[in-house]
Amino acid sequence: MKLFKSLSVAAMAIALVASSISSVGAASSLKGKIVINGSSALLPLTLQAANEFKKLNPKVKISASAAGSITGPQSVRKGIADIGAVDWDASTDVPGFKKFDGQVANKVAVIPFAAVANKNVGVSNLTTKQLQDIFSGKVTNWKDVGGSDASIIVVNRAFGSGTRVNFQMKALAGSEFLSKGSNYKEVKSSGDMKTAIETTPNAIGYIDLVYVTSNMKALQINGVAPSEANVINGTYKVWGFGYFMTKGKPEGAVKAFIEYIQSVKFQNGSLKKLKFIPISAIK
Amino acid sequence: MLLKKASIVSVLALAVGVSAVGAASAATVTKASAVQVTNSTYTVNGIAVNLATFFEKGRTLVSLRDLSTKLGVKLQATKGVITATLKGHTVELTANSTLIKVDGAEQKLTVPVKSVKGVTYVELKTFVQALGGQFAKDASGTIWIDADLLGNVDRIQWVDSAKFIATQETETGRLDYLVDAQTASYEQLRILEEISDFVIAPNGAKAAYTNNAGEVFVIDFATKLSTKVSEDTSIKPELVWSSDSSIIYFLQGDKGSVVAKLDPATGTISKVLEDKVDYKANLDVSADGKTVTYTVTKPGAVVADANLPVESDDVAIDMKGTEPQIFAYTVDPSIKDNKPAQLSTTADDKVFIHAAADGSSVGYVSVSSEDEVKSTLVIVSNDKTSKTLFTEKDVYQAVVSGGKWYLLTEGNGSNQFVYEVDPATGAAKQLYTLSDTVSEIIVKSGSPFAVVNEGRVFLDINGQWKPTTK
Repeated sequence: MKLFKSLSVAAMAIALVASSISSVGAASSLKGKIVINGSSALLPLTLQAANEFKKLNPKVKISASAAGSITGPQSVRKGIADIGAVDWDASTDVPGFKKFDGQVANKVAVIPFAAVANKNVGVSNLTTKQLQDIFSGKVTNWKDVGGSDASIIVVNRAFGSGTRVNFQMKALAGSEFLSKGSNYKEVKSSGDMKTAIETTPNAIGYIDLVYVTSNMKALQINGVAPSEANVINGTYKVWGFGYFMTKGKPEGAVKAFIEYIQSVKFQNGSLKKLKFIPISAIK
Repeated sequence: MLLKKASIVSVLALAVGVSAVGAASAATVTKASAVQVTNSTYTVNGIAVNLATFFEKGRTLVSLRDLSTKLGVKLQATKGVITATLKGHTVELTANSTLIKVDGAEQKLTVPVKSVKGVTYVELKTFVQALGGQFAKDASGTIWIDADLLGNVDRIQWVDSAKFIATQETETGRLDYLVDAQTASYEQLRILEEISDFVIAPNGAKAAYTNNAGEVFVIDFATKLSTKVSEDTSIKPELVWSSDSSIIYFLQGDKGSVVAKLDPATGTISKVLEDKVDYKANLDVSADGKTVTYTVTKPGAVVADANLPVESDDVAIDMKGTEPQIFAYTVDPSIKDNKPAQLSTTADDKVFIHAAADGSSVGYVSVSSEDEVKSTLVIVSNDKTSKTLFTEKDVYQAVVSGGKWYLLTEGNGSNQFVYEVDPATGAAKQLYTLSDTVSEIIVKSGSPFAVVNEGRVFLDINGQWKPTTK
């Protein structure tokens, strides 16, 4: 086919056609550098979005890192990152952390969390009260919550974890964790939590729903199973928004990147593919 | 006789009907006979046709019968009122009247509906638009008239030389349509799952996609039926067809750590590369399946002391070395301690990354961290040598098809250029000059060259830009 010939009239032809949508401009105009730090849970989402965003805005350079949610708004306050990825709204006070003044919380995803136990645990459902008693150390044996006679091993995420903040707020209604003891273990990441729960008999912990494997048991809470559907229909309460914190309202390339990650294309596309829940799914 | 039945369909009926309106129209005919009816060329539903028209009071009037036949409008005449219907829109016309009814609402014409020698004429543009059709005139003077263009299309992918998939992103999910490039007629693909990807096989016969659970499906474009080919629910950030359209390669895991392949015929999944390196992307597989290429993005290094108070903001970030790097892996079980080879080490940002079909090199658009430096096309070979092929203009977008690179670049001032670059010789040939509002080019060898301009898709049909979506 002789389609690939040079057409001098082509420019005019395109330029003169009546326009219907004016928001889509040339791909090239936006420039800038974006540094993102914070939540490890949000890092795959951030990097996927960066990969796609760069094809629309090749002159925008995006670098991302993760070292736990709290380091996100800290980096923004310190001025070494443009975006702080965090698993809670860091512009408000949460258990263990004061609000970050002057930062704006931009919702980017819904993250469901699950209480999980080793496969040998016979219990499949716990109430909020039972969870509070187990994680505070008040109840120490599975037989006291309907299971067999065995000591409960509590696995907790270290201070600073966004998963920990969410689990404390949503599953434990703000009650405190125990912090030491022979049946208490603290882990530094979701990966370590997964390993600990899978390999420690009688263990209980919590993890992002997406990381639940067939080698562990996801527990019902107050009779409701942790699932995307139950988050969306409002019956399962243990979930949080993932946020991109910015110093004041986002501008320029940062604003465009946040808008991309919030766009229907990304929310219904890659975000779902990575098994997060779109922010629009929560009414 | 046809009139009595008020039958739909017939364009002939219409001609009869209008001439039968009676004495009043006879006078009009006489008067209007003075008009100069000419045959003019229009492109209707993608096909160049002649329509009888004349010009009056700044308006082009067209033979209702001619246009309706070509555009697919159904006409019906009852008691002197002609009813035209097209895809759910209805326009009612009365001879010698400037009033028409558009979907029940009155609208005024500049020139009344006229009968000339027994043929009814109506304002062309008003009539087309009243029926929900598209009327567009390009700079060459060509007028494109389409019954129904698909609207709000976010992107397209070519299936073959004649068809493309158009995707609309909506609040509730994506909708995919199979569109005929020439006629612009479209058909929605009935995909019951919410899907996140739609990867067309090189042979144009099918496409692969994943649902929210991560299961893989293949839709056959001939039957329009989807088949689940894998129940594996691992996260699959990227799917890539083998060049013979038989195997689906994919990245596996939320961090894209593993390269795996799926045989859709059997559902068998096997790992191709598992090296515990996270954040792979831009997967490509050579035609012989022996070379796998991809990029790796290293997250930055963070040092933070969790024992210090939060207020101290004791965080340091080192983003050095976080630019994507290109890797190639030779799939050969006989190689001892087989490891991927890192082909690039440069600190430029790498965008639009595509491997050569034989896997011998990977090309990309190199974006400098310096604002004023032009983005260039760089090819890095499996022997780790690299060459810069195109430096003439700042490169905005790059696609590969048929072994050639197509670059959307800066132009002179308010326009943009499209170049075709042969990676073997480095020869660059300018193909097009485009408006600076063009945001994307879509190229598949053998298919018309496509551009997205202000949210609409245009195809180069014999040197003219055909509006194909609205």
